Amino acid sequence: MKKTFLKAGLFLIALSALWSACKLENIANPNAPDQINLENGGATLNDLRLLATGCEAVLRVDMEFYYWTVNIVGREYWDLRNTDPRYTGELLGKGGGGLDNNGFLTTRSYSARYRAVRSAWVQIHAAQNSTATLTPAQRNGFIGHARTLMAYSLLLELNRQYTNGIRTDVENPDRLGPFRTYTEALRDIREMLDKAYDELNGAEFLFTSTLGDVNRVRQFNRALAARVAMYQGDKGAMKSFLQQTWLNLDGNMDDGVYYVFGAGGNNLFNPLYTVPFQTAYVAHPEFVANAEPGDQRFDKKTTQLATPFSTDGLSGDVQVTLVASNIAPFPIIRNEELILMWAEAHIGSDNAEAVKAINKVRAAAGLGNYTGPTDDASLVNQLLHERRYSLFGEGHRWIDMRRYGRLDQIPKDRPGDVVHEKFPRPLLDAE
Amino acid sequence: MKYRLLFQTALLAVLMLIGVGALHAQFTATGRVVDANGEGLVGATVAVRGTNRGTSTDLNGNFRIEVPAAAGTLIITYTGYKTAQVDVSSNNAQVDITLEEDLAGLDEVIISGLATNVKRANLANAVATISARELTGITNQSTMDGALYGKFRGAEIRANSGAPGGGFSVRLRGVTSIFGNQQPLYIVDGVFVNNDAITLGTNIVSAAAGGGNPSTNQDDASNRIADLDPEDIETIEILKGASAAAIYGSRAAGGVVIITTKRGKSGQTRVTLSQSVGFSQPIRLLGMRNWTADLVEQEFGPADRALFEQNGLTDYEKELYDNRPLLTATRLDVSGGTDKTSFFIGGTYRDEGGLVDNTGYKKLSGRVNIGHRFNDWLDVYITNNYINSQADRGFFNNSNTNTTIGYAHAFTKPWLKLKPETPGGDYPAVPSVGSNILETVALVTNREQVNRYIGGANINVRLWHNDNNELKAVIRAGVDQYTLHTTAIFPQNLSYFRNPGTLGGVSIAGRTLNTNTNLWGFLVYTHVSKGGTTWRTQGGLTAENFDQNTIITTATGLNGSQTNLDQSGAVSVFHRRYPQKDRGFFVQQEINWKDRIMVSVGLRGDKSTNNGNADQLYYYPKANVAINLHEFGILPSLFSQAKLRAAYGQAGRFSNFDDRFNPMVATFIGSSNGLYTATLRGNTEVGPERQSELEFGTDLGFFKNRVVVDITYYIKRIDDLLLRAQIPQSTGFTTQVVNAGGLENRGIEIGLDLVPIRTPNFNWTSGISFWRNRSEVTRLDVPPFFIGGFALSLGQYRIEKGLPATTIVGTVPRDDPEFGTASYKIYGDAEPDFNMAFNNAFSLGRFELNFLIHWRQGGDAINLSTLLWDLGQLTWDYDDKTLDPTGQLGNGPYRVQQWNANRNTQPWIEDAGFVRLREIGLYYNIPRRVFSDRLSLRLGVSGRNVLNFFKYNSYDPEVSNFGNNVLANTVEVTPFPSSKRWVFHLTANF
Repeated sequence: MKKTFLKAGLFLIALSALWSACKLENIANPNAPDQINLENGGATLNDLRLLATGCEAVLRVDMEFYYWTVNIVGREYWDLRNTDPRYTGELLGKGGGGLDNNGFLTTRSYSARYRAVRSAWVQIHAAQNSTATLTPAQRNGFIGHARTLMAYSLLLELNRQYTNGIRTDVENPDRLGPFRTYTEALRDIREMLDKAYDELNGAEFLFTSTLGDVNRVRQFNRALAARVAMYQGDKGAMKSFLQQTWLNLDGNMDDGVYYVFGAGGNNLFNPLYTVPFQTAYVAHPEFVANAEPGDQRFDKKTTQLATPFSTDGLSGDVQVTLVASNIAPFPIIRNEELILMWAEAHIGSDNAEAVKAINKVRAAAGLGNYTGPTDDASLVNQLLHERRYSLFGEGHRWIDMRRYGRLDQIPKDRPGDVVHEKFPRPLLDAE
Repeated sequence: MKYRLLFQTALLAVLMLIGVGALHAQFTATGRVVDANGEGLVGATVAVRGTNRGTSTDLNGNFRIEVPAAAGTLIITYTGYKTAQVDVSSNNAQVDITLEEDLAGLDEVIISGLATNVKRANLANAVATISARELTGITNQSTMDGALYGKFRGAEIRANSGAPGGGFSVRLRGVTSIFGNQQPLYIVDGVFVNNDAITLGTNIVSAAAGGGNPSTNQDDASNRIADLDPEDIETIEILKGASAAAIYGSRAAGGVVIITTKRGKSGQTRVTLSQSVGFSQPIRLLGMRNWTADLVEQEFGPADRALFEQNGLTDYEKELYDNRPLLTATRLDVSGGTDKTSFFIGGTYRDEGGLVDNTGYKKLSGRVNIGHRFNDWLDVYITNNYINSQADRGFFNNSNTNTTIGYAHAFTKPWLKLKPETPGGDYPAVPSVGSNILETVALVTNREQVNRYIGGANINVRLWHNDNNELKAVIRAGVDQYTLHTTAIFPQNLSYFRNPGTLGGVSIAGRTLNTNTNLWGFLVYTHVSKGGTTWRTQGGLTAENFDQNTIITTATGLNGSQTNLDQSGAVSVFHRRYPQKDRGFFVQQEINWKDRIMVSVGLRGDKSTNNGNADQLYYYPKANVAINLHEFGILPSLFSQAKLRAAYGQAGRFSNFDDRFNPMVATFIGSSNGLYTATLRGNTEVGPERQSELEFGTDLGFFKNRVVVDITYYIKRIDDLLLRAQIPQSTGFTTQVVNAGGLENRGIEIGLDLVPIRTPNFNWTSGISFWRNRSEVTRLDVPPFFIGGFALSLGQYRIEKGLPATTIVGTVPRDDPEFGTASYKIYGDAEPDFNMAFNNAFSLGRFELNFLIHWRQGGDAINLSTLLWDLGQLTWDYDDKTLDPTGQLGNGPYRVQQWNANRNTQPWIEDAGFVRLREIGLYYNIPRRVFSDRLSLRLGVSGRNVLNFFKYNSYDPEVSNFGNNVLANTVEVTPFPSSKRWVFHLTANF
């Protein structure tokens, strides 16, 4: 009897001992570093480097949804791959339909651009709060770099949202800033760029940027500022900003900053690469028809097909082949665009300089000088033509036509099709 | 510490309850237990009522037991037979007892606590149980899911596709979570068994989820409970909600499926050898449009007309699916034992072809269960199961690259030439589609291989006992470990990978090592008072550890025909580790007053590293009562049983592993590694979801239980619903984890079991089940949101206060009065109106006929296969004019026009109800003594899903593109078609 009580007692004691040994500690995430920890001062120098690199890498995430949507709405090319009916339906306003404010055509790009903005804020907070030994110049290198990239991402999405406006202050995800009108948002972005430009002044990069060294990133900042000024119609600012970039009328058209890609690991392939003769991205017939004979820009970016791709009432036999391989870089902004902005900035004040710049671009494309009239209106027409071919597929045509009030000149291919003016504000931001 | 105090209190309670039994006069009772045919029953339990004395019958059914009084009552129990009671006295010490078969299953033993069981007759819950006979007795099953359809009231079981190797989801009593793992907890012989569906990594080719993340639920992975061999199973019990499942605490909100495998019985060694051979065929083929040269030209232009005239038509649907693959299964069962040791050995080898060429399922399963009683205070039961399986699943479901077979098939014009010019040559590229379906069938490998061991030990130690008291320790330990190898090979020679600049061939090797271990220790104290009331107290600790480690290596740019990961241009790796530790305690008090009134109260406390605060205990109480009116002796004799029951309990569900983290995503650009933010915003404070369920009902038996009715009504509330609220994307995130919602399910389950005819030569038993469930979102602290599917215009689910959680919505049509004001329109509800099952078994002499009909009324699904076919202008019913109210447009153009121009989602939302003959089996039994005294034979033919009636416009209304996601599991995108099966059986018993 006693023995059994002893046994039971021992058993219970063993159990309760076991239980007190059952204290559970939180398990740290074995799969990834923690954002909160990084932002709150836990970032080492090496973490800051990782974040800076990440800020550049994240620009590539879902970038294709930006370029596809903007280029297709601008009728630069069509997506006839049949992978999703909305590329030839919703995006081209088939049957007079609008864009779904909760469909991927609207949300994928939007959320990816703001993800890049969030990553930039994490980098800024991490750099501000890091306990790593950093000089102010080094700290500012991280911060100015992030802020420049943040402005770029906001500008891209503003292009799509246009007069819906966007939020420019999203530092605190629990207290998002107000929606700013198109004009206000452009102003905010320009201020953001100016602030970053100051931060980068004398700054030091402790990381390897795919964009270039500190000076190139500062120049990139100014190139973006010039774009903003162009959208604002502020030609004076455009000129002065452009002079602070790598603009070179005699330089290589392709000198610039790029999204870069690579194979393997956590790298990404270029999502805009199209397999020749296989991936059904087809240049718009008007783009083909209006190309000047011998325009190397056309030849470089397209491939003639033997049999056309067709679907959903659309058909074309000129395939879009923007880049040479699936690891080839894709331009963010390059000298050719800077030259064309230079030309645009001078139309109305120094048309000869504008013609000179246009001719530089034409010469590089293997074309003769511009010989048409040089009044402002004619030059704007010519400028838009050159921008169309120089910057084909780089996301400009639709915005150019819009800012010159010419959306009605964009061809509609089927009865009932519509050219969208802007993308709807995503449902969740609207609610 | 709180819990230590609790234990000391429990100890005190145990000690106080222990009384000292007095000694009485005693005598020895002897006798024999036989069945209706007079054959001795081996291993029947004989106990003396009001004491803890017990013994079991020997090989001839004889027993011998000491009765500690001048007179007493013997209680004789035996699985499958009604419990019998016999009075004995010293004058009448020799008794023979004939046991009656238990038609209503009232004497089955149901698990009621973590360490105790209760008879079904005394149970306060509606626990569904099925036996081996119901599970595999009508027709054999390749995976366990197949064995469950239509057999449980309150369960929605749904296959993800027809691909070999299974893949299914179970929803018990409605939607219980939006983002948590909804699948029930599976426990096999006390072992926590993993049931994950682990991604195959084929997204890199299919791009089903866009982007490059290999982790997606669209790749049609099977879930691992499919590994279990149904032939090993003795019974399955399903605890459908918290009122019964509270004993499993924070893993039990999805319900618990308790599987008990076969156990050897003492007696002659029995050997059963069975062989089955059969075939499967598509349950439905959809066909083609009636193509003529003119129609081809009208739809696709002169170039296609020329091709049509040159190549003619090929019915690629028939090429792909209209096959009769062979199904074979060999099964060996050996069982037996002595009075101290019992054993069961089971082995299965199964080889089944899939409908599509180069798909199929092979499984080798072996089991050894051994029980040994060392002496009167220690017995040990050990279970061992090894499984080796291989499933070749084909390449199906959604694709954004037109590479899956189903997806590409929707765009493959039947006049295209897909076969190689010369046998063995390259398949022609099909640029108008994106891939060549025949090539994909021939060259693509998509395989899952599993090596798995499941082992458990159950140790019972009788620490102390006397006539009225018993103190027992129960220790249960288990391990479940498997290695899953997934292999997906897309050779470089595929037409879409031949060109430089493509991925150039992809080889994906996945390895998952999963280890679950669990250890429970319990003390059970039973006291039988003189008045006949049984008091049973139990308390103990539970510990479970889980560890899953998945590595998926993806090689692209394969060197020519090579598939080795090394022989490639680039390799990328996906790696996830999911460690989890849970600790808990459980205490329960049960009181049984003479089988008349049964009360039980219990409490489980759980903590887990998956919660935001790992050391915080969450408590889950339960309480229930059952009243057996027929035991009071006041009911008319018409009633053989009349029970009222009510049960309440709470259970929880852990947050997902990642929910508490804000992880940064690894990247690489230029020459450097980098980090950027994730799209999911974590929540460091996240806790479990809590479900509380109130269930009440009645069980009524008439005419000696030849008519049994049970009715159950339940109300199930889920609080602190874990939500991945979609948040404004301008935060930089798309979703955030919050405990911020409430959900309610109410439902009714009715069963009617009949034995209309019972004669020595002819028997008919019949069961009718009815169940229905209604859910409603009762609280939502975040803005209402859309979930599942692809986009609003393609049908999504809406989570909004006041709506059922299964509401299917879409865009508002332009011609709708609400166009421009409402942000969505409701098109349907995935929840069926009701389910019914009709189960009938006839035996006439040596013949047996069984069949099961399953009727699901209503419940909508999102059929995007039809959309894809319509876009390809190839739909079977494209030219029928049954939809357009004006009678002008064919169905295909009408659907597309409605969707595209009118922004109407209706064309893709369909009624997914069905009536199907789930199972049918006809058998002929040749008893012993016909051929030999030692041999009996059973011959038969059976079928599965042989008759199907549904309006749904595709292969099968029961498929899911999103795998086990229980909420979004009614979206179809070009799945592997489902099949029906016919199987011939031969079983020999030695």
